[in-house]
Amino acid sequence: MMKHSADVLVIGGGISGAFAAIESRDAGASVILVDKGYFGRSGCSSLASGVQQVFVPEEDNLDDWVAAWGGSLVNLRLARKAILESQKIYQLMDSWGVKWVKNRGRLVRISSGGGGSKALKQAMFAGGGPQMMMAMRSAAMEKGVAVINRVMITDLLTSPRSSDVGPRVTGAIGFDTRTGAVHVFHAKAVVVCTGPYRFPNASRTGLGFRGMPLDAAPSGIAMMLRAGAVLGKLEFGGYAPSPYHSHSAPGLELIGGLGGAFVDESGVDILADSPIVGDAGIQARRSTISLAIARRQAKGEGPAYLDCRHFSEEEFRLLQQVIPIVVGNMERCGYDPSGALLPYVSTLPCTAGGSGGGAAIREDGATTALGLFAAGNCSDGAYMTMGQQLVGCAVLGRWSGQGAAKFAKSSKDWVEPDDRIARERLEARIKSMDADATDYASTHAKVQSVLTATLGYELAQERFDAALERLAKLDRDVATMKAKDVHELVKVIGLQSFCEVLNVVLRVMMRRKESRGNVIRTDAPHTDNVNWLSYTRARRAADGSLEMWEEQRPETPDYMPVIRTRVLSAYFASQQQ
Amino acid sequence: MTPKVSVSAIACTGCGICVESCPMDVLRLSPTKTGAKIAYPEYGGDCEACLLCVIDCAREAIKVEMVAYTEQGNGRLTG
Repeated sequence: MMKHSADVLVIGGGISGAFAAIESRDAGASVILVDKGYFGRSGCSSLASGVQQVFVPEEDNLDDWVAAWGGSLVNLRLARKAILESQKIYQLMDSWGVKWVKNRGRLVRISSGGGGSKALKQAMFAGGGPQMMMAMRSAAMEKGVAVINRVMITDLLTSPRSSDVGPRVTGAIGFDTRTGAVHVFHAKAVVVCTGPYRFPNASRTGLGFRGMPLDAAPSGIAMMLRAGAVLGKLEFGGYAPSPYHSHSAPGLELIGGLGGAFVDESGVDILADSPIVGDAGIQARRSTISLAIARRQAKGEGPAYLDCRHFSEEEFRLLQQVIPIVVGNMERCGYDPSGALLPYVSTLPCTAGGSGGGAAIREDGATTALGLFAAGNCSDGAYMTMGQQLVGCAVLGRWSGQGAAKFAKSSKDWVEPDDRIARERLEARIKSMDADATDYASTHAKVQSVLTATLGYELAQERFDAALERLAKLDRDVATMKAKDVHELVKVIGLQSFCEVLNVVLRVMMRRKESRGNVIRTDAPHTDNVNWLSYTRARRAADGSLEMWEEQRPETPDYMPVIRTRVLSAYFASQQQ
Repeated sequence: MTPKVSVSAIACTGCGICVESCPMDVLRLSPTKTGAKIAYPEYGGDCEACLLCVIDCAREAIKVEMVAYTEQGNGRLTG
């Protein structure tokens, strides 16, 4: 057993975790960053495209940007603050050696949406996410962040307080994913930066599981749920249109910005007259394009196709420079983007929370559990920054790092957690691995079929009921799954965490009798701002029961004015006729 | 289509950078007859074709191809 202690423990080494660790360290805290993979290579950020929103005050209009990122549930004051901070993020990353595409010392930016506005311009960095994250890794380590790779955190450690205020988070426990050695962490503040929930290790067959991050399972969200943190923003469903054959494929901002189009088999632009995306076309938000493609799939019209055949040689060179993984994957699948249409599919709505969803946080990253902070897509922070974008995650990482360091410094009530029970439980689990037990694979297949066969693209009350019934029947299988070795134990815990979070996600979606984001409910096809202009929160109570409630959106100038008509989306209105 | 990872025994120097960088923890090092170590895909069925190993390998020793999907066990290729 290995024991570590620090002022701040950061779990997860994507861009949120990197910024949280660096910012806490800069504030004088001792920091450990622990990663299930290798810090700089795991998670979503290292696979991200080299496209990032950077607000340049001399060139851009702040109101346009705020309008592009503000949805009816987004806090505009904080979104404005985040947009203004995007330039600081750029300057920091630049100073740490992230290489940007520049012309005579000035950022080269493409005009592209992503936020549903043609006014947005995006900066690009060369080499994509891989180059960016290695620079971030170096910066963190040079500043003295202690990095521990290949340790999967399984649970948060808590110290009891009076029952009405919930426990105080005082550390975490996990295991080395290669040796099985148990690691215990004691920390005054813990920042969870583990990325979105996603169905882990999906099979190659069937549609609807594409998208990033590849190695994510919602173990971070599940452990925060168990620690009593309130969750939010679980109601929006999956988000990503992704290539049919390839999992890691960001970069739509760049492709759209260069004039790519989504077409049908015969080359007709499917977004041109789409009531779903409106005038924005391919520059609409990814979730909106995803919804348009999902509709085609639900109707059995098959994938949409991305058409880049008219790009110039120079534009293809830019694609290779900025989104090397996407282009590499297309080529490996036998597609020549200059000569062929590339099939795209949409993520199934309950399989991934790409637009964020997880612990409800404040501006300083604090969750409702004392000592526990969260940032990036395992939090509901997209409600206060720029969606699920890289730069939004970076901003949230900074804020939570500052918040956690401040909390750790002022924290006087920290008591060493009693880690014995958690340790013994984890050690027993690692010891009990059984070479003959093969039920992970079959259980995984059963859970997958709940997503594809029972839920599908279009949701409705009876589908939620059927899915929850099937999940309840699988409960025992999921709880008693065994792993062949430590490598498989990572997958087993990932699948268990997914089922734990899926149970909450389905109940939240079922509760909101409306369609929103890219959740399509055939039995409630409106976006209903009369009854559902609210945040649905969920929390696991001390007795294990799930509590759910709504918090009304505050009526302050911080929020977008909403026309309170019953039907707000032209698309969902057309479904009524 | 499903990814298939292979490592060239001639080009690989056994530096282990791919073993570090793989997000799915697919690769391991194995001693050869001469005692030198080379990388190999111990958990090849977990590959998601993110290409980080290909990007990180200084010797261009790793190949990730997309091959026709074959049903085996629970819909995942193993080995």
